[in-house]
Amino acid sequence: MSTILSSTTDKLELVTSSAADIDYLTCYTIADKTSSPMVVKDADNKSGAIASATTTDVSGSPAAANDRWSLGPMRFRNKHASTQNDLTLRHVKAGGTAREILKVTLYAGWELWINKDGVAFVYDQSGAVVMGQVLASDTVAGLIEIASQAELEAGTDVARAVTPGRQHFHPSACKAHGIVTVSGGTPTLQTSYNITSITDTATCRLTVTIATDFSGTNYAIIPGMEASTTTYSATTTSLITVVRNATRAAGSFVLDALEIDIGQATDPAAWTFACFGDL
Amino acid sequence: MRKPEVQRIIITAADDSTLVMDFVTIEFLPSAPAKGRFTREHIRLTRMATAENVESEIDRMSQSLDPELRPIKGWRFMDSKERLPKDRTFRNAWRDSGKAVTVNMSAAREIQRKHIRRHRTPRLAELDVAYQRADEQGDQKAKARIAKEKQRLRDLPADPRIEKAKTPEALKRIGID
Repeated sequence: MSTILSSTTDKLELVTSSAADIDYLTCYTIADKTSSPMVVKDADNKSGAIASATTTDVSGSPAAANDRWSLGPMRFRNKHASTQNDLTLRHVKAGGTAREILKVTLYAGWELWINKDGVAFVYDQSGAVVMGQVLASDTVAGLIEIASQAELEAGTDVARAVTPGRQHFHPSACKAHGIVTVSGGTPTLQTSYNITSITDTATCRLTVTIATDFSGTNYAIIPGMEASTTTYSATTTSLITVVRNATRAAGSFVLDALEIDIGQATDPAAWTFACFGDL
Repeated sequence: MRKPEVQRIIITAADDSTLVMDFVTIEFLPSAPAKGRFTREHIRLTRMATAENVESEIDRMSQSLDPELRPIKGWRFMDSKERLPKDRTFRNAWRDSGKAVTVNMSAAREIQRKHIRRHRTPRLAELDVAYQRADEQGDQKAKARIAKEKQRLRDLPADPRIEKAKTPEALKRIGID
């Protein structure tokens, strides 16, 4: 509901904190209390310019004791090129103590709109709605900024939002993974993330090439595999998978599958891997 | 999740061994249908299997290869109708002729000899223990029998059947038993 002025000494006043130029427009409708129901008998507006830190009557007051003014919409614009202004809207009831009802900071080019229902909006210099001017936190709803790649890689900011296209930059995110099945002669890539090729290099040996490389060779590779049988043999079943020595490059690595006793045996049923580190 | 689409590449390494690369041409997002038609919105990564792209991928993959495999001698696109050997027993003996990948029997024989040597080692160790026991018991017949079996196992890599084997299947049948 909009603000109502119900006496000849009711008014809305605006306190400005700086000399940043503020133009304002206050519209209102006038109803006659003596008629039942009350009917709108007139409508008018008040506009002006404020160029200093001061208190300004931005509404005027009802002319007659039985007049009831319904304020809204109201608009306040910071016309200054660079200086911000803290605006405090105050309601004065019957010439008494002014009560603060709204306080907002308007940066250069910003506007405050209060519609006829009394709902306030702040628009930035591009005309976009500024949904609250406080930073969002664990307990307060407000503005939230999107985290950049560097901020995600640092992983310390608790006030910025993570977007789907950047979440993978966080240190805890898996940077590459895949599953490669082996049947009918050759390993086949089944599903993967950030992988551009797999190469069947030899029996029990798989080379994996990464799409977006790691920033260096120091990244973690978690290799795994699915055994080719449930009747395990220490001499013929591949039971251990390792990253082959000295093969970890920023964009590729090699996995070896070994059985326990005597070296390479038969290929596993599938290779799996996941990689963590800095892209 | 939908399997990536790949172009298979046959690569010949410096030691003439054959590498088989699955070159990813389309990586799908989880939203892609498991089969059938898909749209751009279902694709995470796509690239053409051009010679330039394949060369670049092989170069990147090569960074992790053992030194004896580098530099790569050559590569070719694998035809969609071409089939690789199904049996991987002699995978390390695969050689590319330029039109097909087959098992090189000379390399396969060496692999089978190595296989025999690997698998006879634990059997020889068991026979050593059995021979000692027979010796302690003064059982000359058992000692002779064990000695003969050990010699048979030692001679296996030189078994003439290995040289005579003309196919991988024939070679596979020659074991330590």
